Amino acid sequence: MLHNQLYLNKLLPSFPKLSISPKEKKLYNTLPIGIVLINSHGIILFANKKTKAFFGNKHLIGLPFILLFSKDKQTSLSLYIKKTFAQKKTYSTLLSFTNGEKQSIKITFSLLQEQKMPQAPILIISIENSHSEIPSQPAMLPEERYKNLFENTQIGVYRTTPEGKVLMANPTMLHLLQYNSFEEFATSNLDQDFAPTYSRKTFKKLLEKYGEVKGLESAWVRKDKSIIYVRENAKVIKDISGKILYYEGTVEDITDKKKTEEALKYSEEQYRNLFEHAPIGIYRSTPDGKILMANPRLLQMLGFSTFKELTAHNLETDAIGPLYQRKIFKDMLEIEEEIKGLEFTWIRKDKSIIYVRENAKAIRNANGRILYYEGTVEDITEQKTVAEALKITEEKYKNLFENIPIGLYHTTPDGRTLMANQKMIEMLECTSFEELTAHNLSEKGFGPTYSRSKFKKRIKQENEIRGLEGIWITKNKARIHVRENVKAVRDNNKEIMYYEGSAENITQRKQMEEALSRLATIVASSPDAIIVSDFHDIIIDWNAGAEQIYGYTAEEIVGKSIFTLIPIDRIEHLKIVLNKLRKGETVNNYETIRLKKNGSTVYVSVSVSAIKNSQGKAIATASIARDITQNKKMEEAVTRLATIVESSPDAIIVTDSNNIITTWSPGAERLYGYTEKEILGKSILLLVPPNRDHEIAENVNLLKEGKTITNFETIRYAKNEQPINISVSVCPIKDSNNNIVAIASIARDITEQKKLEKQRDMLIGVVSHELKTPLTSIKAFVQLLQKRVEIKKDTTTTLYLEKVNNQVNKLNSLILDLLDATKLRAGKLQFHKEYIDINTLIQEVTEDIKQTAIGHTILIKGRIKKRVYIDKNRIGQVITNLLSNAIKYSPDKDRIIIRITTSSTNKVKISVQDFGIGISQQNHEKIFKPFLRIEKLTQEDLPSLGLGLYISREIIRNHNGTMEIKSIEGKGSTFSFTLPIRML
Amino acid sequence: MKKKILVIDDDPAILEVIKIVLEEKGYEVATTLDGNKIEKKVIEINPKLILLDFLMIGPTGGDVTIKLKTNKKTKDIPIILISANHDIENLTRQFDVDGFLAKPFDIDQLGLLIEKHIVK
Repeated sequence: MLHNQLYLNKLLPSFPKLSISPKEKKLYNTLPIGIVLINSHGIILFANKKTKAFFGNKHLIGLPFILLFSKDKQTSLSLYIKKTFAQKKTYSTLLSFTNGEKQSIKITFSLLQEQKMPQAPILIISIENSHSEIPSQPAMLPEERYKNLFENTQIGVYRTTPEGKVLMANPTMLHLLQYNSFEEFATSNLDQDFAPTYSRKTFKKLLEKYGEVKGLESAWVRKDKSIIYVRENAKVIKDISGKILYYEGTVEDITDKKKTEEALKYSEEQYRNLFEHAPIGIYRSTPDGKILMANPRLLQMLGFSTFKELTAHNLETDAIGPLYQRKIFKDMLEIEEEIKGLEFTWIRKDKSIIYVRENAKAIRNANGRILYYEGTVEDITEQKTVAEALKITEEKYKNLFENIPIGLYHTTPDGRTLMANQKMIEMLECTSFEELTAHNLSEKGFGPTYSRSKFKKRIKQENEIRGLEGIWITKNKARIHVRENVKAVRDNNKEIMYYEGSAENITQRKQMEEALSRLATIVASSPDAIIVSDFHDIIIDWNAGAEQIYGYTAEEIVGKSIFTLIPIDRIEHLKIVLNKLRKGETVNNYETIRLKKNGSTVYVSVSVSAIKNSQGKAIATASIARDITQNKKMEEAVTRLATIVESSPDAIIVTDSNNIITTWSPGAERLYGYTEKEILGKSILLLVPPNRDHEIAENVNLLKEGKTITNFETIRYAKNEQPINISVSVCPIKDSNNNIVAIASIARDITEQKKLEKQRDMLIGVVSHELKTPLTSIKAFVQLLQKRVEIKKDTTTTLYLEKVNNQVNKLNSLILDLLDATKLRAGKLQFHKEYIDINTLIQEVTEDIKQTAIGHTILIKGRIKKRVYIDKNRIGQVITNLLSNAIKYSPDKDRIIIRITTSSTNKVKISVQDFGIGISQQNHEKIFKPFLRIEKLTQEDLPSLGLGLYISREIIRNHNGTMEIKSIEGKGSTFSFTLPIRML
Repeated sequence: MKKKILVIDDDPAILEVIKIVLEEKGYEVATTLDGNKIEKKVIEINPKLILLDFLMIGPTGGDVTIKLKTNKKTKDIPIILISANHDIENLTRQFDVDGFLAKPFDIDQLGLLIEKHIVK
């Protein structure tokens, strides 16, 4: 399809090339016979009027000639056409043709040699009716028939004698040669008067030899001496005997044509000139690479001196010319028809390389077959070299850009990254540029931590910022120190387009600086003496620590020998140390003695090392000395303490935070029976009876609260599984942060003491019981007496007896307390708990007490809805005790308040407030202690301290409650206790 | 006829004062200093109520109570425990006594208690 299309395109533009001059056209159209011109494909290119009339005035141009005839004629006609083209001879045929009436026609085929188009031969076909007599000679034409043609043709027609005498000429002939009348022309001689450029003699010879001369072009000189170019056909007309009668010829004015030809020739010349001198190479080659033509520039370009030399090479097969694959080039031309701007390297004769830009075009024949390639070649080596050089430079910069150890970037003011080099990408811990651009530098948690808006403002003002140091955050959230130079890049309107900057990761340097600064600070602030001496043992550096320890200021000692500090008996030792150092050894933590400025000695622990330069050569000595005088003293103290622990009769035990025993004194071994070896690493719980396990945790909690535990009495098991009564004091061992890291306990065997106490308690029990017996009869007799006295109305005696009765009651309650206290201590006090409405209980107790407390009003505030699980009698005893105390210690006040409240922790709180004398802070804890236990009992203690509060608190404790006091001396006291509310 | 009350206590002074108090209140009072052969004693005396001390030389109040309360002939006689022991209330829970009174006691209280428990 494509090929056909190309073919047609190739074909159609060839019509105009067949341009028949109007003159020719006129001539053809005046002929009485049909004239048809066809091309080698048999296509009609021209048909004259007669032909058109013959075939019914059809539009014939472009039609295949043979189609004008019936099918049976077409084969033979096409054969004639082929033969005529092939043989270049003239053929005639007769055939019948039906055109309204059946007629016989004669068709003559002859080749028209068209100079302008040698490659496209044209066939001229004449068609005439065969019945009309066609005279073989013009002379035989009837005068009438041809007169018109003869008179009116545009071609000059003449007849001369062989000697040149004019016999006949048509008006055109006269006109051509500028004669006004035949008579005048008849006087001229063609051989002599018009000086044709050819030799008339040769003309005549040829004419006589071949009988005719055709298409002879020559210049004639006209009557007015102007030149006319003519094409001349001439024939010899002979009589039957073969004698030459005359010459007959036609003369056509081809002056215009000649002029055009001249112009064309000139133009061609110009092109040739161009071709020869063009600054670009021009070539023509066959598709298979044979060079047909090349201009001098091309020769020069490829380094050849002659065309011949060049044509010895083939563009396709030899290593000359283009380096591209010829096949692709050919394929391209097959399809594209034309290639433009193909840049490639070509090889020159000397095998050097040039860069060329090539345009090429395929030139095809009428069949569409490629005849040759025509192309232009421009040497662009210089351009290329410059471009190449530029490219290399660019590559170099690019290389630099990519490999420079500094991050380079372009960003928009709003933080978008336009460009970043590899280092920049790596610095921000991104894996690719794309990943980097996914983040915005203004976003929080990525890029610089400084304010982007301030940064923008500053650049706007200063245009350039250098040495901006800041912290950046990488993709992996690492913080790095970055030093940045940044510059605004502006457009023609001075508007900022983007920032161009470099960023250097100075984290390491910063760290070094910080480390250095830290080191300097350490050296300056170290309590250790840091001394640097050179290898002549001269002190060159002396820190504040050294001044502190040795007493010399830096000013005093720098420049002096290190031996200034060494006691005589240590000089030898130091020399050994220094020798070791010179061998590259380090001497660590040796303890020695140094001399202070004031002459006294100091214990120091010294580490000495060599200071090396970057080549590893030792250049100085650094010694770090710590004053261990304190340590020494500590050591001594520890030794003393250890001796005490060792020799103490008490059991001294240290446990860690997991209750593991870490210290076990000989006293402990004596008490419990375990050896140190046996017990170290074991739990303290090994010694604790199972029902007392909780004591350990409780004690720890108390210590954590900052409380002290002294003389805590408990029972422990010895190795032989016998219980031992001990009194233990526990104290915390704390670290420097005040955290408890261990617990020390000092325990004393109180088994013997306990035995004595038990005996005492038994004694009290028995004694108090025995006391009660007489008290019972006393009370009864007193009451009997009262009754009798009441009858006699002896009021004084009644009053006295009432006092006796009260004292009996008081004595009784003292005995009761004594018994309770004894039982409490023995753990024998029994409780009988049940759910009680405590409101009612308080009410009852208050009513009872009111009978003896006439001067006080007791207010009860609040109540609790829930019942409480308690021993009614014992809690009643507690409330009674608190109320009695309140009354007793507020003799001048008349108000006591009982409050019942519930707390969020499911507890009921009952408090008894008086507004009396109060209790001093120092006695707050003391009042809860049984006076039996107060070792130094003073006279003052007795009236105010009974056993009541001790018993009360023990009762409340037994109910899992707490009792506390708030009191201000002179303002009154509030005793309160809590009881847990048990849910039913 | 006066109702008979047996008082058992190892302290003669207490026996004496109780005897006075109860006789004044119109009871016939028998006393004994110990709990030995108590069943025989009680059966002979046949009291309408027994006042019993707890801590005595010889059998305790507890021992006496058990014996009397397990004997068919004496089990229905009310027993009121009187003791100097502060925890007398607990003692009454342990033994099958009908009432209790702590020493030293109020004589009116004693009267009220006897009136309450004595076999009518």
